[in-house]
Amino acid sequence: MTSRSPRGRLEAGAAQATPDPEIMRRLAAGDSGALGELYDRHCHSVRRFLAQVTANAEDVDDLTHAAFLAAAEIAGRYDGRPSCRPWLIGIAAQMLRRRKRMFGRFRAFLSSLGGAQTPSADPARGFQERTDIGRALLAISEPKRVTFLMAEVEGLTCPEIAAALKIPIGTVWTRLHAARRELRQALESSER
Amino acid sequence: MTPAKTEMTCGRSFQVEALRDGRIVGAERKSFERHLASCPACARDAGALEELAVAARATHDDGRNDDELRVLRERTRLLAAFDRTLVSPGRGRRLAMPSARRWLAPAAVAVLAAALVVTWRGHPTVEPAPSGRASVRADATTTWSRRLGGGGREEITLRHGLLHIHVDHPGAEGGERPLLVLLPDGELEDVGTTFTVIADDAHTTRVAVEDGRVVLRLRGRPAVDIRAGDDWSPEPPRATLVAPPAAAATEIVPNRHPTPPSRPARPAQIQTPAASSVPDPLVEFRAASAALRAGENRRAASAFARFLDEHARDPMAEDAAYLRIIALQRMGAGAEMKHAAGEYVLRFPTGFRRAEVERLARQPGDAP
Repeated sequence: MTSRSPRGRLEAGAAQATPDPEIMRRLAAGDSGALGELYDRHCHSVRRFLAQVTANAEDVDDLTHAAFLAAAEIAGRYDGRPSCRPWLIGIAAQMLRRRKRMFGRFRAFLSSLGGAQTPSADPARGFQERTDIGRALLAISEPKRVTFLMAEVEGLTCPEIAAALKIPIGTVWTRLHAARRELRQALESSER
Repeated sequence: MTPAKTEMTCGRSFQVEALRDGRIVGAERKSFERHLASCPACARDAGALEELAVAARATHDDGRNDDELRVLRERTRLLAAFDRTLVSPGRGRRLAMPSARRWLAPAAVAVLAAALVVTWRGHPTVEPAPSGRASVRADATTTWSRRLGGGGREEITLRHGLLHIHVDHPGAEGGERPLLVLLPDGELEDVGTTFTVIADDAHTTRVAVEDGRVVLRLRGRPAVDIRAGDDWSPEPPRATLVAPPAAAATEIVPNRHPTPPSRPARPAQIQTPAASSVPDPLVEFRAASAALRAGENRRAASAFARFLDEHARDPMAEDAAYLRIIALQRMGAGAEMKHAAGEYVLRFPTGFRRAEVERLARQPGDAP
């Protein structure tokens, strides 16, 4: 009851014939079929994670695409764990962070033009259709949201999150604590 | 969800979250686990944390709400991008953020637009017409529309009737998303082609490709790769055609010869590695690709040439022809490469790599 399941929920197709490490080995050798298998097996998990974080379908497509291509590029460095999912989620989170940085620079540039409308990085389409927890998640900052989702929904351990996001583990703990506190406050206020 | 703070408290409740996040280990962890079993206040806090996590997981749909066709389309785009990096290892470093170029392009357009807004502020805004890379002919009874969709992709929606479509492609390196034809029961993605598509109110009834290639995706069915000369018609539902998502790569190769509309179409063939008694094209293609990756260019060139001889009508034939050129180019066999490039252009006059092939043929000494 108290500690998280190490891997969260079982992903679809967990009973598949080819183990993930074998797929990664083939992918590292340039087998595009392996990339197709990897995508079929894990795309829903990655898309789901990104959808929760970005709330924009186009972003989900692009970031998923980027995450799987990056995974193909570094497949040779895969550490051999039984499931690729946490690893892919970590890559997706990094893609997200890079995109945010890029958009940040772009917004700053647009602002410097003066008078120009800057685009929203998080349009949060479908906001009204979200549940209370969904709205609460969108209300907290993206770093906290990403950390919380990686831990509580995707089942990554804190060291895994720290490694994926390239942040100190203390920062992971701090973000998790703050995310939980803010989420609980938001949910309490919505219940009133 | 969270109990009122006036309820019971415990001096060790700060450790509840620490336990959950793995911050306490060893003897301290065991001690707190024993405490947790007997402390209602800590058990309540632990339950609240778990409740929060369960609620967050419940907001996920496990991908069940993903648009099936969208996922398949993205799969095609991913594999095509991987294919490009496979033959151009020097571009590998750019893999990590392939979308950057696509974001930067709209960004540049937005900057330009912003400048125009600043210059002409006060003028009424005009909805831009779709750029229209495709020329479309429709018969008098056809109901259809066109628009620029997400990511600048041109989308044509066919409700019913006949459309004859020709698309000009700027070249393999254009980076544009292919034209998408939305059909009553699926979609059709153009990969550089001239084709005709017919649909009634509920179903796609015929796709005939004159040049190039299209990918037809119907809901609940594997993608169909339709090439020049193919004339696709729907088959009666068969159990083997309803494949799980993992089998999406399985391609239904329709009749290679145009079928008169009045005659029932020949049953589609399903290519699967296990079902074939002849050499498996997929295995051979992978072996040839692996040789290319390993730098065994001569062996790769021979393997791709053999593939083209044995599987001339295979959907991967164009890939094989192109990769053979790459292998020859890396070998420094300029004359052979030019010959292979000529063969490619003859066999795939509207192939989506034609521009790159012609460039390679002009510059035999350059690495791709």
